Amino acid sequence: MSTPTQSPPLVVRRVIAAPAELVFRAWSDPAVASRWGWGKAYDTIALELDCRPGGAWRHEIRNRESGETFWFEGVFREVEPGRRVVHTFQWRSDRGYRQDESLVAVELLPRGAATEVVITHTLLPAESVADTDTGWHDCLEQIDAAVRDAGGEPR
Amino acid sequence: MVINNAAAADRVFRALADPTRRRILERLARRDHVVGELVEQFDMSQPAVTKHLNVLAEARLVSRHRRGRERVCRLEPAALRHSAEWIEACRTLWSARLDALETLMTDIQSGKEPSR
Repeated sequence: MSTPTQSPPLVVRRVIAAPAELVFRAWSDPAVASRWGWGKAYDTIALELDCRPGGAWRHEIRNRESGETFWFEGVFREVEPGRRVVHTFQWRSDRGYRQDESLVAVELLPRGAATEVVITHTLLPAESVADTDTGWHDCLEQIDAAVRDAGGEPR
Repeated sequence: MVINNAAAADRVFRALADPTRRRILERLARRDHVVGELVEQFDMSQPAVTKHLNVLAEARLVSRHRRGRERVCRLEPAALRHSAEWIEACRTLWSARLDALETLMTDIQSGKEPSR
């Protein structure tokens, strides 16, 4: 994504051996999405999915070991079939943990017969920032370096 | 996946979202400052600077101490750990999610039916 952002972007990439049209259905098609979990530690209990701009999604999942139930949910903001999905993301658990709304952008890039999935996860910008400004990472690095120089403990 | 410090991390990110607050932190990373110094350096009113300092203090990025008649502001780098933890927790989450996507796509393309 070319848009500069002041919140910390987390980018995760993976090449999946499937065409983009099929990969996209994991976001758009309830029949496929209901088979797609959040990892081996979690069972999917319920799923709601309305993949169009303004449509909502919601996953109820449960940790197999602890029994803790989580609700992951959000609203789709952009949907370009086979190419791109942007949705909000927030979660809470039945044990009181929660994460406020953040933004997830998914891009599907054709790589021959495969597809590179690029997930960019950011917290929602609280205020807009000029492009020329010191970015979030630069700030952290400078602070970290300064603390190290001062012999402090940055972590 | 349990992101214990999500709320704390969130406060840190929101505090860092503002360019003036980031510049304040950069100054404090070099040394402690009294509020008056920050007011001078940023050419802002004292209430405006105080407002930014309040946000930073709520995120526990900055602490304030009395020294005589002045208030000294100090960087508290420990709070930055929360943001690093948030990023790590999310990375773990997406990594597991993409593992599952990989498996699902393989299953679908090999014609495997849902296991239920």
